[in-house]
Amino acid sequence: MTNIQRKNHDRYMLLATVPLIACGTVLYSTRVLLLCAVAMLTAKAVDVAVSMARHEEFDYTDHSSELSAVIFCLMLPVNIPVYIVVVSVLMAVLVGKHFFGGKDVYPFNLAALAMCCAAVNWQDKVFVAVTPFSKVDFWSGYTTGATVTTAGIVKNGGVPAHDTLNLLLGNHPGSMGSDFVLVILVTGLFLIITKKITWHIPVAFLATCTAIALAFPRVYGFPRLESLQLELLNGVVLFTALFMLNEPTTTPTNPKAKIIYGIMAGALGMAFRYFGGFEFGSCFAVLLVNTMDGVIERFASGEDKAAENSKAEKQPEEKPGKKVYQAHPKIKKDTLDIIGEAEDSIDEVLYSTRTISIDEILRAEAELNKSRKDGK
Amino acid sequence: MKKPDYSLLYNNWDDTVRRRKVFLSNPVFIKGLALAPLVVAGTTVKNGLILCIAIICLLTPARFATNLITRRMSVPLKTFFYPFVSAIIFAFVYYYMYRFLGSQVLMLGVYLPILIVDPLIVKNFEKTRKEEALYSIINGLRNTAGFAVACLIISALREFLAFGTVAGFKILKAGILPMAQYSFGGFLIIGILCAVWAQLVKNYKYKVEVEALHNERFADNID
Repeated sequence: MTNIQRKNHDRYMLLATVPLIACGTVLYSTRVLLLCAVAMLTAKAVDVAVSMARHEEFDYTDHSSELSAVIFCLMLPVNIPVYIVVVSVLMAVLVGKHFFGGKDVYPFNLAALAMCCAAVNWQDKVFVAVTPFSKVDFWSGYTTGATVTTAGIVKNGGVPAHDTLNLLLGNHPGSMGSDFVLVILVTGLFLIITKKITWHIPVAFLATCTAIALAFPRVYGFPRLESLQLELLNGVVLFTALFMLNEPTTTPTNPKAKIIYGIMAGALGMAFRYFGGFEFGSCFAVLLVNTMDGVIERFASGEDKAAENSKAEKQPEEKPGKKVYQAHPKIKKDTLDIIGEAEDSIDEVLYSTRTISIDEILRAEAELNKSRKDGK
Repeated sequence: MKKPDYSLLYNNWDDTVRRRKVFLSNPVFIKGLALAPLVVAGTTVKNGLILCIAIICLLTPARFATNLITRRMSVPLKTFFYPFVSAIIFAFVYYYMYRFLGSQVLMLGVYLPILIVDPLIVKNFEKTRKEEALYSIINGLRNTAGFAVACLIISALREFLAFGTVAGFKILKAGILPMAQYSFGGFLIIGILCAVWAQLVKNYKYKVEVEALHNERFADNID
């Protein structure tokens, strides 16, 4: 993906999050805007600080951090304290992006990383849902409408009492923006039609999730289709498929690889949901699949096979009867001291931060030439 | 405060690096030794102190004792003897630590006995050259000091981030980053500290170079 394509992708994705932010603002509170703004500002501030520390020119066209910050924010409940958003975004952008080389080379999805960071640190505050239209304090986030998430109810073996329409509209206790199924579907279609994302990963991911949910329903004593509905229409499954799994830096480019990537993400995501300790297993699955991105790409494009074939072609044939045996030097006891000294000097070089000046190199070179001329 | 002789430092830089194990060649921050116990067990200042005591009692005596015992031994035998000697010394150290510190020692679990085979202690036996007895003591003490400084910094920072306290004294209402108490959080924090430490060393080296060159030019002008 070229720079311009990446820039456009980020802008379109940011644009696609606007309807979700708007829905969150209407259903919950204007605090959604505050949290998104704080997350975006933190991400930008980290980018600027790192480029200043590295003495590099700041790239104004890179919006990947802000996009990830907004996506992460939309998965949180509206009553989340601001410092959790700041620390999680800071950790994700600093550690996940800049420690691994920065723009276009980071291996992990930043939004998933931020979510995992928040989930591990503040489990009791992250896995909370807020009832729509309940009062939420703008600054502190205090609310009386805090309750268990729909995904949490299903995880604990219960059955949430929400009808299909409310599940589709996101009119049930949930996160700020990842539960508005219809809006997510429309924005996803918009992104696919405008070719900002491809269909491969979302379709493979959702098909795998559907197959697993149908084969092994979690809600016992419930019709399979209704159980499937509960699985897919809550707990950021659709949001993950369309917004998180399509980040160009961390996903493969080959269509076949994309399908394998989607299937693996779906299977792992469901495994995390079924057997994991957290309700939002998809984020952990995304991180795990990110580590296999390169392998999947090579496997799907057949690069490994091609490399092996070319290696076999290049290898020269062995000539029979002309083997050269290298004599093993006999180690004497006295030589051990010499080896020890050499090891010491290697240690010194390894742990020394002294630089060798050009004068020293030139002098050493002159001495070497002189000794060669003398025939030593 | 007396200004150090930068020219002398610059000319004997390798020697200076080898001697200054607390800052320039810290065994934890620069060489990356003894990470396992620090990552897992160094979560509070109390745990850090127990680790420090264990290393103080273990590192220099083990190095010195092995040096004396294995003086005339071949390398493979010496390799076998090093952890053996440190294990024997550790048995005494553990007994007395348990007697004075009680069950707090048990909190570190396997990460206290694992120090016996930690590279911080056993790295020395990789070298085939014989070491002077006095040098082994001095070097052991330098390594101990370097480890103690790193251990206390790491454990204090982790306690502060995870629980908002330092050595049990409450500073914040709650921890800023609760994951600092877990191993992966420890890895992350140690990694960041290593990067900061390496940058400080680099800055110091740059200062020494600049000052030394400045002094040389100044001396040339006087001549």
